[in-house]
Amino acid sequence: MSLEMPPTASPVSPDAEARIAIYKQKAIEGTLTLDDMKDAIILLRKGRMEALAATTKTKSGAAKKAPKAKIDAQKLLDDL
Amino acid sequence: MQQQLAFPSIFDSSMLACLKSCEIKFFRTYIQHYKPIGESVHLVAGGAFAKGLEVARRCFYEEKASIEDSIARGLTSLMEAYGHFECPPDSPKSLERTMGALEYYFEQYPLSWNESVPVELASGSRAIEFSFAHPLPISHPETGDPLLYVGRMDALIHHLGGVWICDEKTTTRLGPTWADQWDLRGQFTGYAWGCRQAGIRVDGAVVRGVSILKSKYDTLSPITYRPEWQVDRWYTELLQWIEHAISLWTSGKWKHNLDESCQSYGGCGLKRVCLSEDPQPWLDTYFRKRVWNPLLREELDIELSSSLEMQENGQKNSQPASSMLHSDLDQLERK
Repeated sequence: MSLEMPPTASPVSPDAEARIAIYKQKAIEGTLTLDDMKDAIILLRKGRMEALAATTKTKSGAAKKAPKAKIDAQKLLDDL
Repeated sequence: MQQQLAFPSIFDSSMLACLKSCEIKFFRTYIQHYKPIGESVHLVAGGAFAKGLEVARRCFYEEKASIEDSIARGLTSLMEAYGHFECPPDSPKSLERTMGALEYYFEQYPLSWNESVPVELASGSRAIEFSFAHPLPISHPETGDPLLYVGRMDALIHHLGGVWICDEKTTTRLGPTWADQWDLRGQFTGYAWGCRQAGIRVDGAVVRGVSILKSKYDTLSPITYRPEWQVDRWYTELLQWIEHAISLWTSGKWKHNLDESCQSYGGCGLKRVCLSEDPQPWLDTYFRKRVWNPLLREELDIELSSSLEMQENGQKNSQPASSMLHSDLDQLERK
């Protein structure tokens, strides 16, 4: 299953990055807890789902926005 | 001078692949023990991911922990294994994304999925990070002891009504031909041989690729079969390759590939050495001597490795070679 996202979307949110940096420091200090990692799971999952939702919205939006060109058949014939 | 350098006593799939791709690369890497200075983000991230996966599996299947606890402990181990490594700015395999990839993996392949259960061993443990070491009918050219072929697979699982080798691969791209490269891959044929030596028949391998990109994760899970005739062929040629390595070691006439191997996988790490008329200054500057231990799956400082080998030789003198093997496969109970 491929979850393609807009170039600027990341499956890891800035909030998740910041929290993981804190947890990394706690791991170094020996104070990291299981609840910290459960929080990380929630953040990582949330960021991934949000990025997926943003991709879905962008794709459907792009499909709606593209206008259909009106073709003037008579003009084309006149140009010939 | 080359004959003073020891010939390896243990072979694994990485060493064999290296020998097949370039004789000089094998000589530099596994006889002279030159390894590039600095760590590879691919190896660090891949190793950390594998560690996280192992711990999560053991927690769930052996300790009967909950899914959430198991993944949390897996992430903890992943983080510890990633350590202080600084991910290059242009690489997507940062700590955060590697952790995200593990969380994504367990969404795609849930721990509770009954098509992914690790085989249970007689000891009650599961076939997770499952290793083997079997003697070959080739003697070490110096010690006379049987050479060993070793391997360690991520897991042996129940799948599609059979027993399958399960191997995870982290990558930056899962292109249209990614799945095709495993059909003849010696690594898995060697694993199948290792299982067969212990009386376990496997159908083949499930190769789970997980791509880690800056904007997405992705996965593919191709299966590749290993019929008996392929395992037989692999084994016959394994012995031929090792005999060939011994003859190269004896003669000292190691040859360069000077062809596609030099550019594969983004370019051989020894390329600048081979481009130089005098390779030694390049080796002294950009490489360090560390010994790859296939049993421990780690690189050791060359002096420490020599010390350990001397201790092992002291023990070996009082025991037959076969009793030195530690194979989880010997404990397998067919269920």
